[in-house]
Order: sequence, then structure tokens, then C-alpha cells
Amino acid sequence: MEKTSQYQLNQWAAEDRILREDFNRDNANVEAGLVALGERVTAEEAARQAAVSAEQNAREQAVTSAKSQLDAAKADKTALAALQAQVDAMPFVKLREVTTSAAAVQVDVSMSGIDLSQYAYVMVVPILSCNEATVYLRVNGISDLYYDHDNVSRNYLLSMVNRDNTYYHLIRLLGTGRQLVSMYEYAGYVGHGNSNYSLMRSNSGVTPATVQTLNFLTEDGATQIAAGSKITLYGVKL
Amino acid sequence: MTIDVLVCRGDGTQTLEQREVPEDYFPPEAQEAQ
Repeated sequence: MEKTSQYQLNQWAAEDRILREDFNRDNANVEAGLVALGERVTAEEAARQAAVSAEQNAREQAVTSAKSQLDAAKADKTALAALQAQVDAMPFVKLREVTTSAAAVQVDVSMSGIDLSQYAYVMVVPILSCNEATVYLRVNGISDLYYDHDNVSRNYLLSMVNRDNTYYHLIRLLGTGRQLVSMYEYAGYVGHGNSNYSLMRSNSGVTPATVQTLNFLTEDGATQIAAGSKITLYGVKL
Repeated sequence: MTIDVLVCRGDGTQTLEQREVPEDYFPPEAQEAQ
């Protein structure tokens, strides 16, 4: 008796005998095949559902995680803004600190980013090592007679006298005037002090808003300000 | 004359430069804190 090519079901020819066992075997085979097919379809459906659920869960978790990170970033930004507001509200701030890396006759300290006119004054604290020499302060590299002290022109804003290799000076550069004015205090020796002022003449073109560099120079071309000297600037805001 | 000038920038970098200055570049005499 012939069989079908794929599932081997009986194919009766005219001369074949018709037996009940052949029908029963075919029907049993069809039943088994349909059951197996149903189980496979069910398993594939379950697997597909599981994959869809897993993908959905992963996406929901990703969205939740991203939202949490966004919320955290917003919280950080808020905290940072609050901290910046506190810093901005501080009236007394350190603006610059320079420790010199090499010995030099002159040290130029940049005032970039510091608008002196925004401050009541900027306090300059020089801690210099200079072998008993006098150190002079100039502004913007100007070495001509544009500085004034007691109506006398000179080519420096102020001088700092060295005592025991230490400069007992506190310099304030005022930010509120039309001219650059310095007020400074010093202790000549222990128990004796003084204070004074000097300014830059208006024809120098230097105002508090146009101060670009502070120039510390020694009294001659041979004496040097040693490496490791420190110059610190503090600002008192208006 | 030539002098050594240490240039300290706002970004914290420093450069040692040689600069030519006139003979009368330095103040005439050291004075007591004026």
C-alpha cells in the first residue's frame, strides 16, 4: 500500500484491502501530530509572551532609571545653585593666590577676571622673600611718573621695606574711585606702624576697572624676589 | 638692561621671561614705605 510522502498516511489503491487497523493507525498518527503541533504552538506563544514581557520590563526599568537620574541631576543642580548663591553672597572672597615658581627681579600678577570696580577694595597680601631689599609695586607695567604720593610724582605706587626678610604690609586697592587709589598699612618694626595712601594720576588712564597687572619689582636689576614667595588677593564686594 | 620677569597668569600658569628695560627703570632710591 502506498504512503503519503511526509506523514506516511495510508493511500489505498483499488486492489488494496481496507483494514480497520490501518485507519486506526492513521488516526492515531494524526492525533499525535495535532497534539504535538498544539504543544509547540503553545510553547512558542508562551516564549513570545515572555520575550515581550521581558522587553517591556527592561524598557520600563530604563525609563524609571533615566527619570531617577534626571531627578537626581535636577536635585544636584538645585543644590549647586543654592551653594553658588551662598558663595555669591559672601562679602569677602579670596580672588587669587600666587606662589612664585622661579626667582625674578619682577613678578607680574595678572588681574584678569578681577574687575576692581566691583569691589570696595581688593586687599593685597605680599609674603615675599627678597634678601632685605625694598620691593616696589607698579600697575599695568607703567614705569613712568604717573603715580602720586602727597602731590609728588614718582614712578611707582608704593614701596615695601623689608624688615628681617619680611614685608609687614597690607595693601588695599580701592575700587570705587575714578582713579586707582591705594591705602596701605605697614609695621616698620614691632610696635611701630604707619599707614599711608598713594594713587595713580588721572592722565595715566588707569582706573579701578582697567587694572590688568600688579608688578612687584626689586630696587635694582640684581636683587631677585625668591621662588616660593606668595602674593594673595582678597576682595571685599560692594 | 635685561631683567628676569616672572609672569603669573590668571589661569595659574607662570612663565619666566627676559625683558629689556631702560636704565632708569628702577625707582631712584629705596624709600621708607611710601
